[in-house]
Amino acid sequence: MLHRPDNKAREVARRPAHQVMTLPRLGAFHQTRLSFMRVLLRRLIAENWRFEVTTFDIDASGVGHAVYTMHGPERSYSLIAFAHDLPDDQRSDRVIATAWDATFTLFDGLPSPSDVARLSAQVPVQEQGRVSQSELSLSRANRSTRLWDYVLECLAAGTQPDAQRLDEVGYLMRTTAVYGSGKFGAADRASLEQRPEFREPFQVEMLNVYLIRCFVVDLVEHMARARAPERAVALAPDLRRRLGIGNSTGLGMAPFLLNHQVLINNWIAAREEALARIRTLPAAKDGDWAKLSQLAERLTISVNAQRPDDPRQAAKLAELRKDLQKLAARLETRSDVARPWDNLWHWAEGVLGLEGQESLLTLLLELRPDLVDQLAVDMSADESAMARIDGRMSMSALRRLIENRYAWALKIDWSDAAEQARLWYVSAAKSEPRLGDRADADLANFEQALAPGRDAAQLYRETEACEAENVGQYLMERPKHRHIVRRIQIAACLPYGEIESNTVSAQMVPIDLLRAKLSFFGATAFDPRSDRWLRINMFQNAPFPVEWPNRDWDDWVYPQARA
Amino acid sequence: MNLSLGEFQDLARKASRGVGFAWGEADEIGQAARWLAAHQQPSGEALAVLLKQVDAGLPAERCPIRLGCRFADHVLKVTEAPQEHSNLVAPLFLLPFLSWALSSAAAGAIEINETKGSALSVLTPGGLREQTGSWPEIASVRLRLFSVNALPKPYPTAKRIDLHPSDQITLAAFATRTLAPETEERRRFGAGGREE
Repeated sequence: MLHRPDNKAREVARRPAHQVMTLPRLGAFHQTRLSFMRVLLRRLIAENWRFEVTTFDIDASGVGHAVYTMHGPERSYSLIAFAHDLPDDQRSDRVIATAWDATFTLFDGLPSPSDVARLSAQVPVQEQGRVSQSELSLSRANRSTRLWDYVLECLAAGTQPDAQRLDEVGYLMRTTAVYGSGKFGAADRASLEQRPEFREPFQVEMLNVYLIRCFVVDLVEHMARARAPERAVALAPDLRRRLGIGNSTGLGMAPFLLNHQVLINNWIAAREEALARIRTLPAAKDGDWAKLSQLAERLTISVNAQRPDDPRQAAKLAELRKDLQKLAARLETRSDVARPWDNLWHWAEGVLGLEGQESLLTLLLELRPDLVDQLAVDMSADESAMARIDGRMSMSALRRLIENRYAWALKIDWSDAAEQARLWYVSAAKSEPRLGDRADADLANFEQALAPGRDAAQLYRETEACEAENVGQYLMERPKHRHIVRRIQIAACLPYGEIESNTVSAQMVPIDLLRAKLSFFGATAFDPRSDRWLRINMFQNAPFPVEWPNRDWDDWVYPQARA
Repeated sequence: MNLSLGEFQDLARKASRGVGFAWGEADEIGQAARWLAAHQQPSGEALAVLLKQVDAGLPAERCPIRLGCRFADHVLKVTEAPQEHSNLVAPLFLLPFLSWALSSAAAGAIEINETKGSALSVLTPGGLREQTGSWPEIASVRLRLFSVNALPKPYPTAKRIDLHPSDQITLAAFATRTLAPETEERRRFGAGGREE
């Protein structure tokens, strides 16, 4: 559990679950300093990890392999990259694709030539191959057709690409899947979580992506040099940093937040605790207001650079731009009151939209790293610890839990077809989760247990006149309710352990689920391509290893004013 | 095939659902399969035997999962007075549930033995402490709770499982039943998408 450092003064409470855990709110989350990309880079820089290009064996056409290694205090990790020559017509963002411009695995240590030879037969075929306990991830990326050729041509011609054109896309390659823990034979997270560097969630995946970013920029420079050895130039450092790694994410990621109640609780609890700690501060320190204003300005730069096609996202961004203007004006007043950040927060809740409020949360957390950063440690979870059902609980106690924790679900009229218009299933094509139309009657048998609100309400209805002595007795006859009983009992212990929105209604916007998870990764530039998949950017503006000693990179995620 | 335990757990969960277990039960079977594999027990083999029998209509009273859930949920108690459960298929699968039943109970250990003496296991909240012989595909078992002062060291644990190809094929075939056949309409509706 998370404890406050100072509990003498009356503390500002964390926001309640019914305010935080709705899909529209979760779909307005932004990265924070607790996001996993930022946790990773803080560690790598603070611990002075050493970066080394161990192998770069790639020909002029961009085919070959490379090994990029990070040496930490105790262990080393190597990205093994296989670069391919993919015809343009085979380049697809879809997870069901079978060929990519580059494929990767993160290796535990330094790979031997025989490891590379073994993996050269497995990694390029991705899901069709097998990796082993020595490998920690499996991933692939495609070139941005919009940007790759342009940057390559510029560099080969000895000129720098236009900054604005770089910003329009933001990356040279985008990953279409990053598989971690245990997938396709890779090492389980459980076998790695004792290592300090992987204590916080998704550190393997983030390290993998960071090294991909290093490799991809090197690759384009290498190909430019191969094309025009006399004329080619390297990308200017400021332009380099503007390039992140893109990612295309679809529904495959959506069930995660529902399937990992304890983990999502811990993520949100850390974020909410951080906000509550800042709001509890009695006074601003010198420089706090100025810092907040500067960061708000830099956040505005990044928001203004985004041009999503998606009308819903465009409307959200338009509102956010207005909110950021209101915020900038408000910050100028520097109102000298007790608990200034709590005061500011109350103002924001009255005046700003969800995107604006959650952006302010992001900014406020930057004020006091000493109160915030340590919370990242609490974001992991041993989910097995809460997996057991307490069958001794009385049925009336269970029903009271439903009334308390699922009041939102009991208010929904589940007999209305629109409230259950969708269902989650897993498709035979690459075992990917999908959202189906319940009117497609053949799908009913394949429905996944991903409608907790509906299931809790159904259980409540069915237990109205229940004669069972306790939960265990009840479940003996009705095992179909085991999953929801477990959820309810877990939710009873964890304030943020349940998403308090209907996950199968006709109005549900699935990318809200994706956005929440991606914000915890630290993704930026959310660019929905439909209501079911989106593109994002990762590590945009992050320093490359060679730049780490140059300055304090704590605020790398916020772009500097563009020249 | 050599699998990570997470991968095996996921396969076991889906295969269990594929033969008709409820999702909540399938979750627990996945956890139980992983627990057994981590304790270096022949988890894949036992699960394949069990699921084939369930698929063929195994009566609930011979199923170690249904029985195991009752112990783990504390509907049934293991007591110092021995109790017998006869003719169970894949009785190995009772072990994790019994260990979980202890996790929230008073200190003690459970001894479970095959009534003809071919296998004996000792369980504590921390897991498997002793294993002699091997559990047959079908067996009657005798359980008793006992208090102990000194226990053997915890059973060595594994990070991976080597799944026999025939068990892999059996489990994968059951797991496939949870996957909806792809149609062009479902693909368009379900994945939702424009793309570049």
